[in-house]
Amino acid sequence: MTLNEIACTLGLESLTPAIAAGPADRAGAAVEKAHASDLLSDVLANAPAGAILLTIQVHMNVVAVALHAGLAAVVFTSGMRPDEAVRAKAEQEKLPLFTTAESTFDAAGKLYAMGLRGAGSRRA
Amino acid sequence: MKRLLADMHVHTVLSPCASREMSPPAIVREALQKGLAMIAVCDHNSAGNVGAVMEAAARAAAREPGGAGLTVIAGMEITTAEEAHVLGLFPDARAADRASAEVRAGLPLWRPLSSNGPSAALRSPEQELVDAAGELIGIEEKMLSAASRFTLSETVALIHRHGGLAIAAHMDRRSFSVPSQLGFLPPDVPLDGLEISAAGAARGRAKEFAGHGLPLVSSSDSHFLDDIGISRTALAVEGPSFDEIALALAGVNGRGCGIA
Repeated sequence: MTLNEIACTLGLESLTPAIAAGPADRAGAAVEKAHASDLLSDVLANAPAGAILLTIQVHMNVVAVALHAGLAAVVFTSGMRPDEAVRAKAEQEKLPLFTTAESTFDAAGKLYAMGLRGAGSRRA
Repeated sequence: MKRLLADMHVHTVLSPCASREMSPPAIVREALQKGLAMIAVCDHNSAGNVGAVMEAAARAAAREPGGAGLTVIAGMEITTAEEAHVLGLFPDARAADRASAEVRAGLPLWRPLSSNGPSAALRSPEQELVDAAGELIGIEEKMLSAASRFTLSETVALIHRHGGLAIAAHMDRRSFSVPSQLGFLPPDVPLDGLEISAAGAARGRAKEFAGHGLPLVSSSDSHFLDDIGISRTALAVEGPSFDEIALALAGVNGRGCGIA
């Protein structure tokens, strides 16, 4: 599914309407991965490239980490909203941000049901 | 200039995870035995036992005039909203109390667990407020292990507003550190120093954090008496005081600091 279709199906509110669902070259690209974590060190280490990140972490660092990890978008769950500075930075960097009232668990369950998958099992 | 050894991160019985043996007189005795000139009392999200440890140190000094003496710095280990730990060191107990009150106001109450509930290990820990002799004077009812409502930036601003020094705690740890929670150290947070854990300092990990342009310190983060002084900061200062620590962290007027 594309990011647009996912946002629509889940009823996500876009926080970066100026870039809608991302740069034009990625708007139609399929998103197949997702990652749920509030620890940005874990996101850096374990989030698959191209994934949607579900998090309640709204610190400015989430933008830099998402870009570094090559994520497709960040969805703030449980109604969390970042400061305007974070939102503006994401928009400038063309990183789509969304927010949803749903908890991380519920949003992740819906994404899984839609066919998205995570990083899989961690090797010991 | 003197070289003084400081352990700037010591918990007391007020911290839910600290041993019952961490009473003010025992902490002072242990610190003196370990040859420390200064300790900072840094309980989680509270400065409630700072005054008691200061008084215990004053009593120890009165019993032994001419002894080395122990200077107790008022501190607190604040949990930011992102669940990163930041040490606040303050000029005096009153400044720490004021900062503590602001943090405390935003903490949740302990959820009471039913008395016929699970094992003792799951019961609320006793967050003991004690006097200088270690006698119980109250129980803290707020959940000191919870995250405060202040973000990292707001926490540093709060510490500075009360005249304090802000040090990011145990930067090398994989939990409750700024890097673990935020992926990396945000460049725009005006911290006064970075703490390396005892384990990290022993493994030579301090060099990983040398590139931030911030002074590095190490402390024990002790929750047990035996751990006091296992990791220390050596300060080149005129004497043991908060003001001298501030100068040493800033590296001015011939002062300085390093991991001992």
